[in-house]
Amino acid sequence: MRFAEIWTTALRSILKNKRRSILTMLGIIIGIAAVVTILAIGDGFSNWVTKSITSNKSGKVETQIVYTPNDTANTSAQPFNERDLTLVRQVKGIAKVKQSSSDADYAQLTLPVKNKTKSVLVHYTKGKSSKVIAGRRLTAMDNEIGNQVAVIDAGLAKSLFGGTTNALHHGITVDEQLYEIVGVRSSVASSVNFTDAMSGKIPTNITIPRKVHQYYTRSERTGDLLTLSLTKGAKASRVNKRVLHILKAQGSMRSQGDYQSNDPTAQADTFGKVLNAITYFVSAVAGISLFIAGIGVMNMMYISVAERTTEIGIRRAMGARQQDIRLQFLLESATLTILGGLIGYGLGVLLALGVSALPVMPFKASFSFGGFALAFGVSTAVGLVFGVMPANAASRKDLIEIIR
Amino acid sequence: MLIELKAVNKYYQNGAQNFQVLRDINLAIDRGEFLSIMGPSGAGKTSLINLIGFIDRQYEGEYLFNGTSYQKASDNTLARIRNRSVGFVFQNFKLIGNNTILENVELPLLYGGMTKRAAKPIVEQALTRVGLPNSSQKIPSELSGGQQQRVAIARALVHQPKFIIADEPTGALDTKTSAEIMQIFRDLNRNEGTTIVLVTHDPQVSLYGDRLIKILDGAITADEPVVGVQHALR
Repeated sequence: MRFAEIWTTALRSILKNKRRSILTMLGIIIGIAAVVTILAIGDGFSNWVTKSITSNKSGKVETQIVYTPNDTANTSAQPFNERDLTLVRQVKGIAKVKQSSSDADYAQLTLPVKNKTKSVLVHYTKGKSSKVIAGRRLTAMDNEIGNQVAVIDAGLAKSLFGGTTNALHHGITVDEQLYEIVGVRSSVASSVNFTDAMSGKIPTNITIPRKVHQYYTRSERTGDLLTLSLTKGAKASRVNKRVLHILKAQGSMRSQGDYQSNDPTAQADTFGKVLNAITYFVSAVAGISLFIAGIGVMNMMYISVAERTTEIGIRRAMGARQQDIRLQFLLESATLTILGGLIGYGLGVLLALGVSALPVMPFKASFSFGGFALAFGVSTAVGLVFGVMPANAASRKDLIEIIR
Repeated sequence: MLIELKAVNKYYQNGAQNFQVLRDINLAIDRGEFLSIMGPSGAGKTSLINLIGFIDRQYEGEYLFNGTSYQKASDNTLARIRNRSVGFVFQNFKLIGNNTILENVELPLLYGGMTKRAAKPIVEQALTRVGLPNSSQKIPSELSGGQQQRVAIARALVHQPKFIIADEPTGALDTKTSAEIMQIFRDLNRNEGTTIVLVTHDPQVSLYGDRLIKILDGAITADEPVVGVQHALR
C-alpha cells in the first residue's frame, strides 16, 4: 500500500477512538507544554537581560566601580590615580576604563538618626521623582528653579519624625545643606527591587533636585567613578570581583575609603541561575512525564493490536505485507504522539503568554522555531520508540491463527 | 491447470499428539471451474482452502499454482500472490467493523498499490455488481447479514483475482438470502468466467457448483460433476 494511504488509515483509526486517543495523548501534551512554556520564558528572559545590560550607547556591557571615602570632608586627594587606572586596565576582560563622577545620579550618605548614623541612598534627579504617599512629587520645575526641597521614604520619615505626615515641611540635611521635605514616598526595602534596578530606577531614601545639589557640592567627589567596558564574553561579576580585589589590596586610597562595584548584571545572573535551575527541574519532570506517556502509548497500542487481531488478519488476507501492518501501527502511534505534541505546543504557548502577561513579569516570553522543532521531534521520537514493539507484534501475528 | 495439488498431507501438532488433517490430497482445478468442497465439520475443508489460498504453507507434498510452487516463497511474495490472485469470502463476512463499506472493499486495491482516489470508482462498480449501489459510506453494522456478505463478495472480486475462495459463505444466512448469495456466485462464474472454490457442509448449497468434491477425515472420498436435475439451477 502507498505510504499516504497507510497514513490515512492510521489517522482514521485514531479519530475513530477519540476518547482513548486523547487520554493517551494527555501525558505527551503535559510534558511538551511544560517544556515549551519554560523554554519560552527562559528565552524571553535572556533576550530581555541581553537587551537591558547592553542598552547603553556603545551596545557593550559596562560595569562600574565607585570609591567612597570614609570621611566626606577629606576629599582633597584623587580617588583614583594613574597607577590605579593602569592596574585596573590590566585586569582580564576589560576593554576600556573611563573615569567620571558618581555625582551624576546616586550617592550613599550617612545621616544621624536618633544618635546613630544611618546609611541612606540619595538620588539627584533632573525630573520627576517616583510616586509619593504624602505631600507632592519633585518635578522638573524644582530642578530648574533650584527649589531646595526633598522627597524621603516612609521608613526614614518614621525614624526621623515618627510618622509619614509629620515629616512634611521639616528639614533634612544632605551634604550639610538643609532641604525641605515636601513629599514622602513608600518605604524603600533594604534589598533593591530587581525590576527597578534593571530599568535604572533604584528606589532611594532621599530624592533631591540635582541642580541644587550640584550648586553646593561642585568641587566635591570628582573622578570617583570608573566605568569599565568589558570585552566580549567577559562576565561582569567576575571582572568586578577581580578589580575590587586588586584595588582593595593596592589602590592608592584604600586606607581612606572603600571601593564598591555596581554590577548591572549581578541580579540578572542570580535570576538567571534560578531560572536555569527551574528549567532543569521542569525538563526533568517533563522528561519523566514523556517517558510515562510513552509507556501509556505502548500499552494502548498493545491493546489496540489485540483488539484488532481480526482486522490484521483481514488485511493480511487481502495482500498486506508484514511491513504494511508494521508501518500502519507505527504511524498510528507516531501520529498520536505528534498530535499530542502539537496540542502540547499550543498549550505551552498559551501558558507562556499567560505567565508573561502577569504584572510581576518584567519581560515577554519568546518563541523560537527551535522550541517548535524540539516539541515536534520529541513527540515523534516518543511515538516511534514506544510504537515499535507493538507494531512488530502486530506484524508478526500468525495469519492462520487469526483468520479462523 | 490453475491449481494442482499432488499428494498433499498436513499434520497438526496438538500437544504431544500428531493429528493428520489432510491425507494424500490429489486435486486439479482448471480456470473457470465452479468447484464445491463438501464435508462435515472437522473434515479438513478449511485446512485445504487455507493451503490453496496461500494462507498456510505448512504442508507436505506439492501445490502448484499456474505451474509454480510457492511453498518456500517469502512472506512478501505470498502477500503479493494473495493480493493479485485470490479473493476471500468468509463465513462471518470478516469486514472491518469501524471502517466504511468503501474502506473495506478498497483494501485489495490499496494493497495492490492503487490510490484511494483511483480505487473509488472501481469499488462503486463492484458494489453495483453485487446489488449494493450507493452504500459505500455506510458501516457494516448498518447492513443485514446478506448485505454484509454481498460487501464481502464485492471485496473478493474488486481486484479481479484469478480465483475466489468462499468458505461457508452462507453459513450465517437464512435460506432465502443464501439462495441470493449463491446466485451471485453462479452469475460471476457463468458470465465472467471467475474460478470459484466453494466450501460448505450444506448439500443444498453445494449443488450450485459444477463439480462436487466430498471430503471426510482429511481425504477426498468423491469427485464428480454436478449434472442434470441434481444441479440447483438445472
